[in-house]
Amino acid sequence: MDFLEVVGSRRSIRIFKPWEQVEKEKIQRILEVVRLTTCPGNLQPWRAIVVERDKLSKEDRETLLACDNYQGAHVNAPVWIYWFADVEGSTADTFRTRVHDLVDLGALPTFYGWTHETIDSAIVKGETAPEGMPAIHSLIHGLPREAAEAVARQETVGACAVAVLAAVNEGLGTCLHMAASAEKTPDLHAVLNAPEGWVPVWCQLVGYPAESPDGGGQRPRLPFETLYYDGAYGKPFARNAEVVEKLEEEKLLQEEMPKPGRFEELKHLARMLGFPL
Amino acid sequence: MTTDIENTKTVQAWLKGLEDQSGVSRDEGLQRVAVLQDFCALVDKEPDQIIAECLREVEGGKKIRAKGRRFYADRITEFESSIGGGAGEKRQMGNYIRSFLIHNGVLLQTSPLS
Amino acid sequence: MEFKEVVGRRRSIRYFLPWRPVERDKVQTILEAARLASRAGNADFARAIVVERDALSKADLASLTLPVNAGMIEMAPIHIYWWGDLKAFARDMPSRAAEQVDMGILNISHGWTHTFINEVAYPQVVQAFSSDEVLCAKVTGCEAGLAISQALLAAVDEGLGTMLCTYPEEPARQVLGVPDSWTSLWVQFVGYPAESWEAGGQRPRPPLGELFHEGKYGQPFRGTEEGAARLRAEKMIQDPAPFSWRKEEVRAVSRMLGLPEE
Repeated sequence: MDFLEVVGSRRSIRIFKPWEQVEKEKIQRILEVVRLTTCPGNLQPWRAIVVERDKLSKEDRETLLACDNYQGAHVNAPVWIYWFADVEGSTADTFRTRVHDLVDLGALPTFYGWTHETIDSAIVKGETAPEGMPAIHSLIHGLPREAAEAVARQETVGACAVAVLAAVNEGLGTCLHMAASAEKTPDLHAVLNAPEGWVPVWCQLVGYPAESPDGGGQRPRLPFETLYYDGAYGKPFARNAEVVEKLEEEKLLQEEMPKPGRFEELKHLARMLGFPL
Repeated sequence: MTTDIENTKTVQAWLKGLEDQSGVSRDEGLQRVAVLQDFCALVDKEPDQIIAECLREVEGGKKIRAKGRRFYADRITEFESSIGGGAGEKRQMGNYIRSFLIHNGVLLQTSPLS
Repeated sequence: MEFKEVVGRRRSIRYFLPWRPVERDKVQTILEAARLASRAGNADFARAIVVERDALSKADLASLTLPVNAGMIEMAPIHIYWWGDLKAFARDMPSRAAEQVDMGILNISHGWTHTFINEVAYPQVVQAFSSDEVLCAKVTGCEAGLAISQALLAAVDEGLGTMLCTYPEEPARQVLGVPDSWTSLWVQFVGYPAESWEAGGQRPRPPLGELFHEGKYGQPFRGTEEGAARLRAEKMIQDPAPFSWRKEEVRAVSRMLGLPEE
């Protein structure tokens, strides 16, 4: 599928075919895509544990579902990818090691000031980084654990956005779900045997959609002009109608919901899955 | 009409069909026999009689009696509407009776539920 | 979609979403594909009446219903009633052939002239068609079938589900107002599938050599494993039925639509 069509076709799919398993290759392809996504200092703090619902013991399945209040979509999705942020993956020390590598490989140009010495003096000693480099002396030096955790989380959230698109590209339905409420997080860790420093970010549900893959149309979005500005706040970024038209052709912009028949569809799906009508 | 329809030829064929083709256990099948019993009471017929009115023997097999099938298709619809519960539950009960006919060789289709 | 994949994906879909309409331009595409199919003498064998289920009166719908099409006729929002025009060849062939001579489609190099059409082909071929009912039915069914086959593939290419089923000829003739010279063929149901497009997997077919022979009957045509592998890669040959989850799917879809499950 073309990139714009993937973005345009992405919806949170909440109604899956519980009986149709997802091919293991497709899950691998999603994970491979995420591995290549962007992040600062090449930190890659995301981790994932892939869970096939029907391979869990009854007890473990119940525990994981209880972590999330037995949400409907969670119950009927065959694959649950638990995305975690590894705090160790975004400490000052990890950052330092990774940017050293980037310098050695020629990704970070020395003519912008990147050398092992400038990196070490900024991160370890807090000395001002030379102009041309980011202010890592203030950003990374003495980075507290809570800040490292925040960075790991935010980068993992970004990775999840890519994971969702990768699933759509495989013809799968997907959505991001809460992994566990705060008080149930230890249960989640116990069942998945997740290391302590891994913070649950999202549970990505994956399966074949039982609802129409277009999920009843594109979700309402805030007006373009209220989101984006040109030069400074107050002057909306002008939205060119021709560009919009082209994007409709390219299937980025699709029919908005609710499309006709949506409620009829939901009624039938409820009957199919045994939910009250 | 006897109260025990379980051992009739057509009910036995139904139970076997449910088991072989649809993986429905005998115990579960027997619960459906109770629903068929209610239907039999409504039309005042034995199961074997119902099937006999929908199929006739011909050389080399059986032929569907269109009139009989139509008659029972209408009675099933009446049976459905006489039952309590939501549209899905009513239909489920009617479908048990359709299943009895179908597993005995009486091809029968029904409208989708809106 | 690539042609081979369309062929590979085509299978009879028997469960449709009753509430989801089919876009009119997709129906047009199906008919255009049929219009362009190969046909002998360029004659109009294949004829169709497109019917929107919801535009039918209850009585008309009942007249078109048979025990074997009853479920689909109510589930599929579009019905295409395909007919074969038994008069097509005799009526169309002489003028269409003449037209093709003028257009350089039928040429001297193959023996085609107006004289041949008017003095030889007409009495030999066209009149044979008018007097031989078996020949006429055979050719009409075959030629219309070519068009119907393209209509099926076009529906698949449009992401629709489709299948052919039978319909009662005389009641349909009355309801649809069809001329006496048309013979009933198939009704093509069209809609969005309620089952997955795989519908449980590709249907079992005997191996190539059992169906097709080479040189003469009894010598099976031999395909190669590489040939088959290429067709698998190009999605013409797909995963065969039964899929492990098929019965579960059928149960769920039946439950959704209120049809007997077991």
